[in-house]
Amino acid sequence: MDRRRLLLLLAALAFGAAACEPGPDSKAGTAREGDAAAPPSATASAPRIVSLSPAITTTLLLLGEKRHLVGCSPWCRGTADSTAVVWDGSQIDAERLLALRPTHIVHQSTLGNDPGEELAVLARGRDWSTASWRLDRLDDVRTMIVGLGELLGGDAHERARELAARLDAATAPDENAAALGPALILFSADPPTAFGPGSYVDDLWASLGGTNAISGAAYPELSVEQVARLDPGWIVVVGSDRLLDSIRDWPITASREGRIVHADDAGMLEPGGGLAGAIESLRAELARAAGAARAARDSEKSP
Amino acid sequence: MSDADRTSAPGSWRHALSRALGMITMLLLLAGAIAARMLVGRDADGPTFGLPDRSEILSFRLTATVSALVAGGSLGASGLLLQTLLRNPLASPFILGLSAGAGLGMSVAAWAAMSTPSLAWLLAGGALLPAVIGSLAALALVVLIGRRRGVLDALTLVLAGVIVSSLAGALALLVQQFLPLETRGRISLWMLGRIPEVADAAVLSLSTIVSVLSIALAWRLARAMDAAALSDAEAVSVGVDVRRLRPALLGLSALLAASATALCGPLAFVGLVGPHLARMLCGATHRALVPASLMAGALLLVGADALRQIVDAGRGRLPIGVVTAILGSLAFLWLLRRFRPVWP
Repeated sequence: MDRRRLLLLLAALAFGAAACEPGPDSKAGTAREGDAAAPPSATASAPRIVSLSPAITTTLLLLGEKRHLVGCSPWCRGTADSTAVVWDGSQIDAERLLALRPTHIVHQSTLGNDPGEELAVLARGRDWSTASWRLDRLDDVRTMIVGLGELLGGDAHERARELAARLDAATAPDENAAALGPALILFSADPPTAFGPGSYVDDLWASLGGTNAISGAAYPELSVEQVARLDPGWIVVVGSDRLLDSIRDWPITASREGRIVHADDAGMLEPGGGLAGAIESLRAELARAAGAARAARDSEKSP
Repeated sequence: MSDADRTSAPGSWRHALSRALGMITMLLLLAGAIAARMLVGRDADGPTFGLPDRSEILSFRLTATVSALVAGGSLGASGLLLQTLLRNPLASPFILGLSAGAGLGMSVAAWAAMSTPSLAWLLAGGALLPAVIGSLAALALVVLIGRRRGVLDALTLVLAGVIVSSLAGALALLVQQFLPLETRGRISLWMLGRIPEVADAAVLSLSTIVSVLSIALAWRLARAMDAAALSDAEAVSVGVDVRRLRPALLGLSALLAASATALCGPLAFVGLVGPHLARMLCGATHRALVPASLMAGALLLVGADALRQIVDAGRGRLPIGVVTAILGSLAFLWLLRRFRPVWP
């Protein structure tokens, strides 16, 4: 191939590549103004919400927005069968997202593989309200609930306020949590993986008045030997019953004496609105555990 | 030499005809895959068939098709250069640690952005820059380890690739231990790759130019590669300077793989299976193999992207890396069983 042909080919390919980028003129909003199938304005009629975060989806369901939720991620729970999956964890299904005619798109921003950048390009020139929140700490969850209500407005705004207030009430100090002493909060047993300082569960545990048995990383992986050396007075298990089966065999005081609090509400594993209900369940479980501990102490004292 | 030998030997009319038929078959298959991708889309309920009535959706499909053509073609050609260079039919861009290097680059960038928020720009464009730097750094390390007495040794290069891959993978896991739980999961998903429907025009143009130039240069080296595929002694006996050819092939292969990674993230199997498919259809002559491997890689990636628009098990569209791994391994198995390996 001579040099001139090669240059011509390169120029043609570069031109073709540049033409692939949807320009500002190809936006849906202006192109379909007046079209009967055009998306309704974000504020004028019922919202069409797409949530790319399981935690935010749970919050939306609690805000009574299930019927308005048109798109979600494959990991979102409790959505209607008709809710389309538009995110594979790696990239957005752009064509399907457009077909859904969303008015609001919400997602969780993360440090790696954040869908926000791709969304920003897609949303350019379209009548979409997009919002994202970091959901690392308990305060982030509260901010997201309130922000979601403000974004959607109407009834959702009031319900979001109520949910935030419910979360505040649930995280008020609890004498039973304080009475337990240092507790190890596990969400996996093989290998043991804990909620440490810097995680939203550590935040809520501290606000209840509890003390975390570990310091350091937010989600440290431990060895059973480390757990045995820590020998926490109590273990709080967040997750399914199967975790309990593994932990009961560990050679530590908490396992031997059954000092295990089980938080089995799935909401505890998501930094979203479901936390309020999950913490309420945890408080009930703490009261039961504290009662059992008191009874054991009393029986030891009595001759 | 018998008449039969003469007609089936490279350069004979029968060989030329078979090569031409192979190239035509490959072109037709690629055209079919492109047509399928342009005609298959998705709406809220599932796949849709036919050309879209909106120009922006046509633009999504065109961008995805061009991206898959460029990335798939680059990976196919990169795999061919490595298989020739290393004389190893299992060689692919990722055996030299490019994928693991990209993952390490991405993990380090995420950690840096978390520790120093002013470095958040590192994650722009799907962490393209750290991924490419990570790939090239891994390759540089492989080259450094793979030199014996100042010369690139084929066997040592493969072993160095395995070591660097394992090391980069372990370091990526180490860095991820310092990241929030959510981010760790997202990085794993990023490793499954993507076919952009809304691509950065600069990235797409640059990747296209790098790929076209590298493939054109590789094509010019085709006759030397024919000799290099045999043995060093035979290559030298026909006047090929293996000491200069190896770094050239390695450099071109790295450029092609980095360009594909910049566009679509790390994608496995395309670089491994593409050259084998090309050999089955077009023989072992590199003048035909370079364009045939390019087309085979593009065919695999465009075809996989078209297929994933249709397959939906109620969990949304599958990540492209899942589809290429399944299709690639099935295609590899079929090729092994259906055809006698052409590898010398």
